[in-house]
Amino acid sequence: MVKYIVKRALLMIPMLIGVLIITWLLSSAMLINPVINRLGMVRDPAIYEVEMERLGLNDPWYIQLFNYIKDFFTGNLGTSYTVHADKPVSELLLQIFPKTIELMIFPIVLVPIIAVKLGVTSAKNRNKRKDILIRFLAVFGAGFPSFWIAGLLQYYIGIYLRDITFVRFDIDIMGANSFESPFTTSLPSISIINSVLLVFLFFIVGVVLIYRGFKLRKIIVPKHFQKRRNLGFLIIGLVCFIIFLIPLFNPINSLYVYYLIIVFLISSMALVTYAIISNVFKKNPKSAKISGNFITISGLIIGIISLIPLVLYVASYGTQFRTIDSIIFNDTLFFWDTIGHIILPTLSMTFVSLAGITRQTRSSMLDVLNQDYIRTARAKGVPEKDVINKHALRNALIPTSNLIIGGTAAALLGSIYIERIFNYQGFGYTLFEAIWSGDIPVINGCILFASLIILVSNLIADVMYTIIDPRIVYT
Amino acid sequence: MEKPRNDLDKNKKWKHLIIFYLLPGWRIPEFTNREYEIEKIKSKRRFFRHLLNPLTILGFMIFSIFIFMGVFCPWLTEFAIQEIIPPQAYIGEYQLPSLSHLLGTTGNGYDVLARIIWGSRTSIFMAIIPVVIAVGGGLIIGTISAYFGNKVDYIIMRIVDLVYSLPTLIIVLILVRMVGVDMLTLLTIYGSFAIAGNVRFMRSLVLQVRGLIYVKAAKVGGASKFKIMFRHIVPNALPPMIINFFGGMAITILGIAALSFLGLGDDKIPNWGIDIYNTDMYKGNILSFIFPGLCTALFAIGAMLIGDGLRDAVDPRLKI
Repeated sequence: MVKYIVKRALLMIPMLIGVLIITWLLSSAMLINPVINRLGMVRDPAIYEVEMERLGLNDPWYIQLFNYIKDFFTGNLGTSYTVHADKPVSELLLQIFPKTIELMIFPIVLVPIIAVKLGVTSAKNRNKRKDILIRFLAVFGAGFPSFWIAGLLQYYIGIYLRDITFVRFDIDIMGANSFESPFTTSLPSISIINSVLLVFLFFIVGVVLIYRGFKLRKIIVPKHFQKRRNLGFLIIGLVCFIIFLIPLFNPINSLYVYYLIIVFLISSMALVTYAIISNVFKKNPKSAKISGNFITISGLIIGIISLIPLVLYVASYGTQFRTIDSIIFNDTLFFWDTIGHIILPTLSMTFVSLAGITRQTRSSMLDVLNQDYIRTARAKGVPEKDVINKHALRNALIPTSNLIIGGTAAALLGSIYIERIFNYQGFGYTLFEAIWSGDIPVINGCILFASLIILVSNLIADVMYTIIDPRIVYT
Repeated sequence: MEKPRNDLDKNKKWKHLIIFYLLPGWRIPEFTNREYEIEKIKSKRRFFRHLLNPLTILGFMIFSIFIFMGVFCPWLTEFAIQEIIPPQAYIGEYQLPSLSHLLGTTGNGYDVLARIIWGSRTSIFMAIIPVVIAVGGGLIIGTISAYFGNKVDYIIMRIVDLVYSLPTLIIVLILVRMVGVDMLTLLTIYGSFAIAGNVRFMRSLVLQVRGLIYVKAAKVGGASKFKIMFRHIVPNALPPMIINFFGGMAITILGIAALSFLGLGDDKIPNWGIDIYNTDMYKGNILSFIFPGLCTALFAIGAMLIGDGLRDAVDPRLKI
């Protein structure tokens, strides 16, 4: 299983390069001149030439492509051309993605629960009144365009209701645009993607070490602790040590580097000691216990240290989640404004995404309820509740799980239509604006981000399959 | 005096067949001669019995209404097509419903009802062309991939994976922005991105059929690869793909309406999505928002219901 996951993760790399090339080709073949869009009314050929030279658009295409891929691997996604002038794309993504999550968290969490419940209910009472009602709702949600439902909701609650109550019921935020978050200031100058990746990496190293340490303490070195596996830890530890040595030869000029040195030192020490100790003291339970304690504690330290920049970042720049920010910074007006903006889009999103999962659950549930083992379970006297929830639902969820994960990935990217109808400046809205004005770096960054999410979710879906259905084995 | 049986069969053939399909257990005395053939088409009768549930009939009715509207649109409205599309007609203001315009006019002054009726003609094409491209392409590529296996299969499946990992809607948006909003181009792009899913589906179907005995027999008999693929394998893997056809129609019509709503629709032909796009919600004729959307939804629901009914009929185990 671990082998399969690693294999799939490695296969993601050529896929990612493919996506990089395709997005670059597409966005640069768009036939929209970003420089003209950027300059607007300025029609000076000299300025135009200077801009073209600055953006590197005069270079041959292969050099542009090479630069683009090189920039990606050094964590630089470029800066926006037109819409958000000169804002780094990584910063922009950090700003808009939390907004979309904020909008979508309710559908993502609640829709699978409600939809599976609805599907089971409708399969249980087949061809009865409940079933017909649920099927009607499902067909309604699947057939009606999301933008149509959202538009009507906005019209009747945001405009019509106000008009017929003579402005007594006036929540003008229902239709209007929200203002910029007052808590966002300019972000730190360290390349954000790099730091986030590093923090995440060391967090994982810490978690792994804690786990290993506990295992070493509890059991007297299990059989599957083979030399080969520990060799991997040794190599990672040595690499960490070498990386720790590199900044010693350079003049140190920032606090960040000091911080990195500490993290690298501790993790390399812990990993190397783990690799050596678990081999040497294989037959000595006492020393295994001591070394296990040491490894657990060092893992804890690494985990905590790696979370420090995250905490500092949140404390100084906010989380970018508007609701959480408004609670942290104690701004009631902003909190209710945010909630008011979220209600209608969330409602329409929930309604639209209910349909697919409900239909799928119902059909697979009906399929399962006809099987022999359900009849067996009923015959041997299992309560009906257990038959449905334990025997039938587990099996019916196998095809549904794929849909749920795919839907989550799609929801994380936001809905262009709903964000445009409600002028909610999340992922979809920004991307659409970028496509409209030929903002190539933003388009590239957004698509890359989107396809990363889709790739990871595909992997998760495959892994989930084996957890739900143990009969499926990947090699 | 006895009539020759063949004559009777010729005269009443279609009538008998229809009654035979619709009434279970019905049989005529003259039919005894062909009992062997009855046994042969009994499975067909079962198919029809499954097909005739109320929801599927509703789907067929909705669909036939739209087809009727599409075929007879010049007789259903007093507006000619030139009066409701931009290049010829004068662009005016919106009007609220009146006797001359039963549902009012759109944001640029064209009659809503006429555009709905003329638009059903467009919608039928809009639904069919991308699905034909998607299902046809998926059928051919999927069959080739599953039949040859090995390297061909590996390469094709990696490409499919690559397409799967791209956010389709965004790529379609970029492509449409790139090549323009001409309806036929838009449909082609939309269809060709849906090929990937059908390739996977068709591949899994062909893999089930490939190992069966009659394929081996055909191979031993010396049939060419092409003939084995498209004469022996494809017809036996086809029914689930046909169901995909109707499901795809529903998704396509919604997707293209959504593209039109974003402003990437062809406004040189009557198009429901464009009507929705042109409506000003704050001050304008809200009916030109509601009714085109309703028609889009009904069209999609009709296709969906037919697809579900067909699935029930082909595979009675699965029920939606």
